[in-house]
Amino acid sequence: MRQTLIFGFLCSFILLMGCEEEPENNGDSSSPGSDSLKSWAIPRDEVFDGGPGKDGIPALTEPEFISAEAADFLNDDELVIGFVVGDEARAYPHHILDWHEIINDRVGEVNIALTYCPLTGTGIGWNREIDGMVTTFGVSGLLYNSNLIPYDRKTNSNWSQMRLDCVNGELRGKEVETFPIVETTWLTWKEMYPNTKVVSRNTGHNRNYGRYPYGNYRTSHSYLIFPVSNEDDRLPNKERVLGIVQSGSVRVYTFSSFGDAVSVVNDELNGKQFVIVGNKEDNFMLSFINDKGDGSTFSFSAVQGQYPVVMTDDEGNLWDVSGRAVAGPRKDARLDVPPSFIGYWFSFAAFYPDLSIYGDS
Amino acid sequence: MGYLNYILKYMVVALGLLVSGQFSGYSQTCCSGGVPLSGNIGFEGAASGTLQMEFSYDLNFLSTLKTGSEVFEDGTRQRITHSFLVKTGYSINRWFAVDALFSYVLQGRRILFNDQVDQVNTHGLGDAVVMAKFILSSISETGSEFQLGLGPKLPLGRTDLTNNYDITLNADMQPGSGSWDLITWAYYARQFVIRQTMVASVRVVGRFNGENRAYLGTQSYSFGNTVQFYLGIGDQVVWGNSILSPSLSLRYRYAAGDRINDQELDNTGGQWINLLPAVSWHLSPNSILHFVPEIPLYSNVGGTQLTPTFRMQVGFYHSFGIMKKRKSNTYQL
Repeated sequence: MRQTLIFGFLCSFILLMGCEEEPENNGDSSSPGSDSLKSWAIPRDEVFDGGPGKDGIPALTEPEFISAEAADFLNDDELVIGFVVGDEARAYPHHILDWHEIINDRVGEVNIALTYCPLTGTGIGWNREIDGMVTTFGVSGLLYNSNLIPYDRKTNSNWSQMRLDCVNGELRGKEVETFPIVETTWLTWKEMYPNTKVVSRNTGHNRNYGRYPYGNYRTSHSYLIFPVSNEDDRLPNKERVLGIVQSGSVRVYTFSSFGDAVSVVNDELNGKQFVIVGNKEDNFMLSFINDKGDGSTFSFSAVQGQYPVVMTDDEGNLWDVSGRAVAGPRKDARLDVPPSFIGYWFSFAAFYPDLSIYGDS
Repeated sequence: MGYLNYILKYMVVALGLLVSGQFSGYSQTCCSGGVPLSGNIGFEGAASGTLQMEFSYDLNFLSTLKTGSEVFEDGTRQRITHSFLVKTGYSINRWFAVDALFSYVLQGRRILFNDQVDQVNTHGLGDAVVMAKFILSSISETGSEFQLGLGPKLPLGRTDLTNNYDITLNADMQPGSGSWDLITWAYYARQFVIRQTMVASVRVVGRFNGENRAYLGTQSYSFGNTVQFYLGIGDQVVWGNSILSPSLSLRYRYAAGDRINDQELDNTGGQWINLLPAVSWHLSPNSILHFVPEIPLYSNVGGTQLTPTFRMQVGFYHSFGIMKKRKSNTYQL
């Protein structure tokens, strides 16, 4: 008996040592066939496994919200992403997004997925209604150019956050529809929308929300965890910039383009007129398409001290940070918002090597 | 009183070794879910010409999520490493011996989320260690044994395994580290005078890691250096017709943070203290089966990490040649 046990033990060893070195398939039964799995619209060898695995960073869905007064865990200078639908304003703190990266929410009739990548510093509001079907997004655990790859739970397709399209799976090639969001400090957002609600720390997940999980990553310009396809030293890697994506062209705007009061920049990119409004001290930059609807453009100027109103125009309209006319002849009209978001400079340079910098001759 | 003196003496020696290891600028490394190479290398001394072999299976189950020393209840993530280890050693003469350790690894990462399971498994030949040992004193001659060892860790394991999207998995899921490392090893054991089958031992193992300069194609990655310190006591008892060797060890492990492109990675490294109550069954004068569960007592991890929840090892040891004494010391995880 003893000899048999020993013999069996040794045989098991030999068999295991001879096994072929290939990873086993993912246990996800909803995965499409292997050809579809391996077909990517982006260079596959530049997509990396981030480490935690699919859903290892758990996205939130319709989380609990609390009032601004109750959110005593938020410091005034902390960044939040704000979203407004009608009279309802909601804030999604970076320090919760750092741990969850995606918040699937429903505000009024709007189904939004707040997608946030801590490694590229990009927060973008995605419409999670695709072809008339509402889905939720999860964190695939994969990264392209250090940037989040969400997956949709209806089809298991993988999407690129900063490319704004589906890059793998059944919906490959489909573009993301974005919602205008405002990234700013908690103090500024509260000043804009005192009645805002904010995501509670009671997320159903036990995390140390008071701790930034990536050490000195956001301040160390030389610290990149994953390879990127293009590097550009015109700006420090981790400088936060606003990028406008217009028909494949990208231009970024730095906070230094704006003063410590609300100011307005008019610009043109690929034949389209834009107005960019920002305030360096209050830490926001926003962009809108400048088009009256008849091909002519507004002449915008900044408005001070009337948050959330930030601009007025030659017709006397007052425009708020969501691009809505809150007063004037066009009351309740909306400015169109181009695909634009704030992120670290290096990530824009990686995704869009031909990008330009506003004010850079 | 005599025992107390002995124990104090061992502790002084052990602390000395530990401190000297730290002064060298490194500590030990291997991520918590990694292959237990440095903890397993090194046999006890044996008579000249003795060939020693050991086959063992090591299970490392990680599901405890911690930030520092604080546990966060989270049942969503599991990480399992099954390591199959083949250890061999040959005593060249009274003074020198050489040991080698080879590994085969199966690793699993399991995420439970909204009743969905995502499982990724990898397996393959792992890295290996070859170590030359210098035997300063032998337990059969002096009642105490003191060995020093030094050797490289060979990067035999692959570091480019992919998932089912054909995407290269991160370093933690690869069977190999892709780097040449240096292992330093020191072992001291002493028989108790009034009971010669009882042995107290101290072992210190340092692992100083090199870089994998082709990580993800263009990156440089190095696991954090580690140091492990074992303090144990073991004895032999007769049970029926068999000889059993129960032992109890305390393991302290320090791992520096991993580095990527010379930047320390957050959420890596830490300190762990585990208890190892082991038992071995002497099948014959030359063959031993052993079982070593490992119970986490304390850990303080860098950042937020999954940390071992439970660990165990079973193994079979056999020697060809003359054993100097019955193997009775504490087992080496």
